[in-house]
Amino acid sequence: MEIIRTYLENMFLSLPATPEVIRAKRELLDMMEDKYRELRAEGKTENEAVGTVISEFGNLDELAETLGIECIIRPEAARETESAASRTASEGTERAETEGAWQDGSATGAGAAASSADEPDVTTDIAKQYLKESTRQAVRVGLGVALCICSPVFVIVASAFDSLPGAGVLEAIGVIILFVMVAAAVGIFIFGSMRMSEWKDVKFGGVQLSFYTIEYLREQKTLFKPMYALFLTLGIVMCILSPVPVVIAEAIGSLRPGAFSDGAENIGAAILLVIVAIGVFFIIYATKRYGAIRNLLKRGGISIDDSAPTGEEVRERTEPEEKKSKKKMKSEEKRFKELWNDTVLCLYLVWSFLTFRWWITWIIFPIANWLYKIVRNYKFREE
Amino acid sequence: MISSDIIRGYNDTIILFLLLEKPSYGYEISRQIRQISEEKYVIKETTLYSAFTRMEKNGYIESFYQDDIDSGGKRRTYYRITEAGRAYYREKCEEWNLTQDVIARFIR
Repeated sequence: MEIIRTYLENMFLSLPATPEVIRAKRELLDMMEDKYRELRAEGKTENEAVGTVISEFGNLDELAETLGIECIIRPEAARETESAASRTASEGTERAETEGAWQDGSATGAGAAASSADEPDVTTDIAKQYLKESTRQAVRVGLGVALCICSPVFVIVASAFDSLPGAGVLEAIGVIILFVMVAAAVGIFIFGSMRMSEWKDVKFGGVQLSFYTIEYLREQKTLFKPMYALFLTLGIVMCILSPVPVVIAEAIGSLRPGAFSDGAENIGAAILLVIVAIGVFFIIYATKRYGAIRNLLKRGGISIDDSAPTGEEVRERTEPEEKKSKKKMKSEEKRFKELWNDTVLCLYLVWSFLTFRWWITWIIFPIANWLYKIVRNYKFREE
Repeated sequence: MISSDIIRGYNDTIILFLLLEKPSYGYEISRQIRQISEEKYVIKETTLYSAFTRMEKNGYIESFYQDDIDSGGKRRTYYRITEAGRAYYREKCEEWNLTQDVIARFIR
C-alpha cells in the first residue's frame, strides 16, 4: 500500500497543488486502494496486487485537460501558447515562463501554485538541457586540463634538437606555444564557468524532480554507465602506462650514447605528457558527465542505487522545512568544496610551474584533503 | 484487451449505463466494467477519473459525498446521472447502433 502511495506521490510531484489536482489525487488514491484491497482479498500477494494496480493506473496525460495542467505535463505545448513576445529568453528565464504558465492555466488555485516556487521544479526538458550543458562542460574542463598538461610538449621537443643550428628559434616557438596553450585553457575554463553559472540553481539549489524526470535520469545513467566505466579505465590505464615511452627512449638512448640519447629522452617525455593528457581527458570527461546525472538524481531525493523510493523518502517529502534546511546546508558545503578544490589545483599548478619540482608538488593534494576534512568538521558541524 | 483508442469514444456511454440504475463510485464502476466485459476491458484509473470530471463539467453526472457502509463507513465520492446525462446516453446508443451498422458492412 505504501508503494502505491509513493507511486502516486511521484506522479503528482511536479504538479501545482490546485484544488483540482488535490481532488484528483485523492480520488485516484481511493480507487487504487479499493482495487488493491480487493486484489488482496482475492488472495493475490502484495507484489502482484501492487503490480496490477500500478499497471492499470494509466497515464497522467489523460488528466492534463481536466486539470488545466497541459503546460506542465507537456511543456512544449505550453511554450507554444506563450506569446512570442515573452520569449526573450535564455534557458533560465524559460523556466520562469513555464512556471508562470501554470499559474495562468490554473487560475483558481493560483495561490497554492506558488507554494513550491522557491524550489525549482526540474522538468525533463530542463534536465535534458542541464545534462547537455554538463556534457559540454565536461569536454571543456577535460580539454583545458589536457591543454595545460600538453603545453610544455613543444618546448621539450624543441630542446631535443638543441645541438642543431637554429635551436634557439625552435625553443622560442616552443615557449610561445606553451603560453598560447595555457592561455587557451584559461579561456576555456572562464567561458565554461560562466556558462555553468546559469545553472547554479539546478546544480546547487534544492530541486524537485517529477516522476518522468527521475525515470529519464535513471535511463541516462544506465545508458552512460558502460561508457563511464570504459573511459575511466582507459584514462587510468593510460596514466599508468605513460612512462613506457620514456623507458623505451632511455633504452634506445643507451644503445647510442651522446647527444642522440638526450633527444630521445626528451621525445619520450613529450609522449608521456601527451598520453597523460589524453588519459586525464578521459577521466575528467567520464566523471564530470556521470557526476552531473548522479548529482541531479541524488538531490532529487532519490538514492543512487536504482531501488524504488523507500518509505523514508516519502516521509522526507512531508517534512519540507527540515529537508530544505538540510539541503541548503549540503549545497553550501558543496560550494565550499568546489572553491577549496579549485584553490588547491591553482596552488598546485603555480607551485609546480614556478619550481618545476613535480616529483614532490603532488603532496599538496593529500595535505589539502586532510585539511579540508578538519575545516569541514569545524565549519559544518552543526549539521 | 481492447485498445483504448478504439473504446475511448464510448467510455462515457459505459459509465452512464452503470449509473442508470443507481449512483456509484470510482472503484465500483471500474469493477463492474471488468465484470460485465468479462475482463475484456479494464478501464485505467486515470481514464475513469478524467471521464468523471469531464461529464460532471458537461452536466451529465453530479457528484456527492456519502459514507459507504459496506467498507466500514468510508466516505466516498459518488456519482449520479442527471437528466441531461440520460439524454446523452440515449444519443450515444443511437450513434453506436448507426456506427455498428455501418462498420459491420465492411467487416467480413
